Order: sequence, then structure tokens, then C-alpha cells
Amino acid sequence: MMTLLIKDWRLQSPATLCLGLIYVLLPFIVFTSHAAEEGMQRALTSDTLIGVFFISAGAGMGISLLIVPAFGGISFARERRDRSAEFLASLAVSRARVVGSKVIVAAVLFVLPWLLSGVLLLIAWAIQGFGTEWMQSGPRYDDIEPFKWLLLIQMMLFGIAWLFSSIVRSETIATAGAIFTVVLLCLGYALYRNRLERVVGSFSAAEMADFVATIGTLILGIGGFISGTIIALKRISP
Amino acid sequence: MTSLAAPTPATAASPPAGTDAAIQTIGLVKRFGARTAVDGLDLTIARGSTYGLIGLNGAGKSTAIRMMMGLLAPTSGRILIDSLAMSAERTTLMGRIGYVPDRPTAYPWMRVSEVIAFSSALRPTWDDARAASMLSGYQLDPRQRIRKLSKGQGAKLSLLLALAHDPSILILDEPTDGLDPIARDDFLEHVLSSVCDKPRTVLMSSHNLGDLQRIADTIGILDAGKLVVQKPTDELLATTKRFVAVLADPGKSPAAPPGTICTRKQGREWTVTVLGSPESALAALRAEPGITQVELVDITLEDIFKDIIRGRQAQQEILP
Repeated sequence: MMTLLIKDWRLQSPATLCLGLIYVLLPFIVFTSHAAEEGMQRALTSDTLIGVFFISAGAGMGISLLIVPAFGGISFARERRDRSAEFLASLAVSRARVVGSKVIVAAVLFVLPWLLSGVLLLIAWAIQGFGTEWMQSGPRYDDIEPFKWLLLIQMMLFGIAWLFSSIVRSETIATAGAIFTVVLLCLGYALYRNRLERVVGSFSAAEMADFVATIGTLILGIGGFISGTIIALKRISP
Repeated sequence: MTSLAAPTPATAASPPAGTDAAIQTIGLVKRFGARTAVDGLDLTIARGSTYGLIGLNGAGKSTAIRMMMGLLAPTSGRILIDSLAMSAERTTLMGRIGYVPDRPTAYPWMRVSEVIAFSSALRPTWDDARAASMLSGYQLDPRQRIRKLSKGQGAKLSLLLALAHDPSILILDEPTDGLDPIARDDFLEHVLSSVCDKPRTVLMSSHNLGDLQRIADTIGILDAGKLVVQKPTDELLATTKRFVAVLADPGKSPAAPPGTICTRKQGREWTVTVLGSPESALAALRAEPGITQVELVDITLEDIFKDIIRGRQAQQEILP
């Protein structure tokens, strides 16, 4: 199994490397842009550094919305495009092990942007000093809500890309298809919610729409992932 | 020009009674939409034999092989390898089969050494010493990336990956296509030596019929997804003969002798290819009043294949 895991990790390495590079460069980019605006002397304060790491953590999560679907899109499609799926199928290894390894690597990769953002936040808190007011009182719902939506959208992007990857031969089509689908869904939802708030003027209806959107996003993300896995398991032709 | 064809020359012969079949397909059918790629294929490959599968492009060779490898699901029919059903025992059977596709399918971003290590980890019977010996024998650079290998090197690597776990069955799907004559000879030598090392069942499809004539002890000819001939190579070559007859009157076509698979007429020269009993065909041609002279010509497997296919095509043309 370890052989398959290493292979699947290496299969994803270009996207993983890209994500890692973004997280390494982001604090420098944010700091440089701030220093260019404020001057190096004023930028070199602990408050600025805390801000730099907080912004980088958030920006990294935002950018990862474009990379997470690539993790899903590469999974099966690249192996079929390269015909390496045929090579794998000609070895004495069961389809369940092949798909199982991809699921494990996918789970790790899905968590990766959160871990990297977590590291940046930890650095920020370390500079700020642990035991500050925010940490003592605990996070408010308003602080968490953007992260909830980030997670949901990431799940939806990943699940749909995973599903597309189990069907098509091109990782580009699988990834772009997932991003396009999610953008369309988000736009549609934003327009619908706007209409509810402004035209209908019903905030309870808007809240209900948010709830339905949350559930719908979860279903699309998890459903896409489960369907893609089942298709990959059932597929005889690699 | 091909002008006439007798009825289909031979049907897929069953192996001799008691022969232990390594590969057997029973009523194998594969349809892609409205197109039937493999049409009721009943193929039996005896254990230890070297079987050459030939056919035109699109005849169904690769589709049949991919189904035998479990890479493609049949529309209907069964595949038995070592008497085990491919549909139920795919993973077990893959341990017994070595597969050489038409081009390397190993990960293009891996190095030769990495692909070997990857395969060895997933093949319980992998023989490291054998793989190392083949690697040096084939003169492959272990640091080379797969995508950088030449066609000849790629074919050799595929053969190494197919043989290093010492399979009892070796399946090769047009492995020498696109190779230059030296690389092709080199590759075939390696295939032959692998069979000499240990008795194996070999199934090889190829468009290079000279290669198959050299190594195959049985030949199967596929046409439009159907097995139209299955015979031991020696028997096929011994019983298929071409006669060149000189006609007294070029305007008249004499009756074709029994077993005729293809005829061609150019002026007074009438060429007849016969499968079955060449002696009786020769006697029939000599007894024909419109023929003044008959000459027997030896033909190669390639000539036999072409004449069988042309005969079938002509037969289809004259059918309503």
C-alpha cells in the first residue's frame, strides 16, 4: 500500500508544490507590499508582522480554492490520460487498493491548505503572545463563518473535480469543469439570495436559503466524492 | 485482381482432445455502440504454445487482448485463463500474466529504476536478480525517465516488466510496431530466449507477419471480429499453396478447385490460392481443359493472410 501511496503523492506533486510555494511566498509578498506602502522602518513592527501572517493565512485559503479542485481533478484522469492506469491494472493489485490509496492521499491533500494556514496563524499568535483576549473569549460566530463557507466551497470543488476525474481523461477538464460548475452555482445562489433580501425583503427566507445552501454544498461535495469513488471502483476499463 | 472466393476456408479449430488450455475465450463479444469489434470469438490457446494473432487494423485483435487482460469488459461471453474466469479472478490472474502493450504504459515521469521498484513492490513473485540481469542485458539506463526512452528501449522495458515476475503466460499486443528492423529482431530474440528459459504460453498480435512466422507455432486470423482461421503454423504453410495456371482462353474462367480461398486473373495468367489439400487441387487444375500449364508456388504467412482476407472481402462484395 505504501508504494501506491507514494506514487499517488508524487502524481499530485506539481499541485502540492505549487500550494507549498504559495504559502512560503505569501508572507513575503504581503510584507513587501506593506513595506513599499509604509516604509521599511514602520513595517517592521510586531503588529505589522501579526497582520502579515493573518492576511497570508486568509489569502492562502482563498488561493487554495483554485488548487484544491486540481487535487481532485488529477486523481484518476491523469492516470487514464497517460495510460498508466492500464499499467497499474496489469499488475497484481486490486482496484480497491488502487482507489483506497487515492482516497487517503486526497484526504491528506484536502487538509493541507488548512494545516498551512494553521501554521501561519500559529506564527501570528506566537508573535502576539498566547493568552490574548481573542483566545480567552473564544472565537465568535462571525469570525468562523467565512471559514465555514471556505470549507464548504472547498469540499464542493474537490468533490465535483473528483467525480469528473473518475469520468473524463483530462485533468484540466476535470479541474476547470469543477471550478466552472461551482462558480455558476455560487453566482446563481448569490443572485437568488440578493433577490430574496432586496425584492422580497424577507430575511428569514434568506436565512433559510443559507441553510439550504449549506446543506446543498455539503451534499454536492460529499456526494461527488462518494459517486466518483464508486465509479472508479466499478470501472473495469482503466 | 481478386475475383472470386470459395466459402470460408476454415473455421476455428478446437485444440486436440486433452490439450490443457492456458487461455480460452467462449463466445466473446464486444460492442462499442452499434459497432461490433469482437464477434463471438471462440479461441483456445494450448499451454506452452506460442500463438500468433493476426488481422487487419480494426479486426478486433487489441480489443480481444484487452478483454483477455481484464482491461475491457466483454459485452458477452467468457474468458478463462488457467481455467479461472477473468471476470472473477482478475487480481490472481494478473500475477500469472506478463503483458507487453503496443507502447510503454508505465508512469512517464518515473525513472526506469523507479518503475522497476514500483512493479517489484506490487508483484509478489518478482525476481530482483532476473530483473537486474534483464536490465543490463537490454542495456537500459536505470536513471532514464520513461518519457525519454526510444521506442525500442520502451518495448524492452515493457518486456522486462512483463517477465521479471516469471509469468506462465505472456501476452504481447503489437509490441514491435514502429520499431526499426534491428530493434525488432533484438526484441524478438529476447521474447524467444524468455520462452527457452522456461516453458510459457505466449500470445502475440502483430502486423509483422514474418516475425510471427518465425516464432508462432499456431496462427489465428481475425477478420471483422471473427476468428476465420486457427491452425498450427507449419500446417497452415504446408496446406496453403498458390498455383499459377496459364489459360488457353483468357476470356474464360475455369472452375476453382476445392478449398480455393482467393483467385486472381491477369491476362492469361490465373492465380489460385488453396487451403486444404494442395494435391487434390493440383489434380483438379490439371484436369481442367481450359488450363494449359500449372505451376506450384510456395507462399509466406503474409501471402496466406492477404489472400484469405482478399478472398473474404471479394466474397462479401459478391453477396447481395
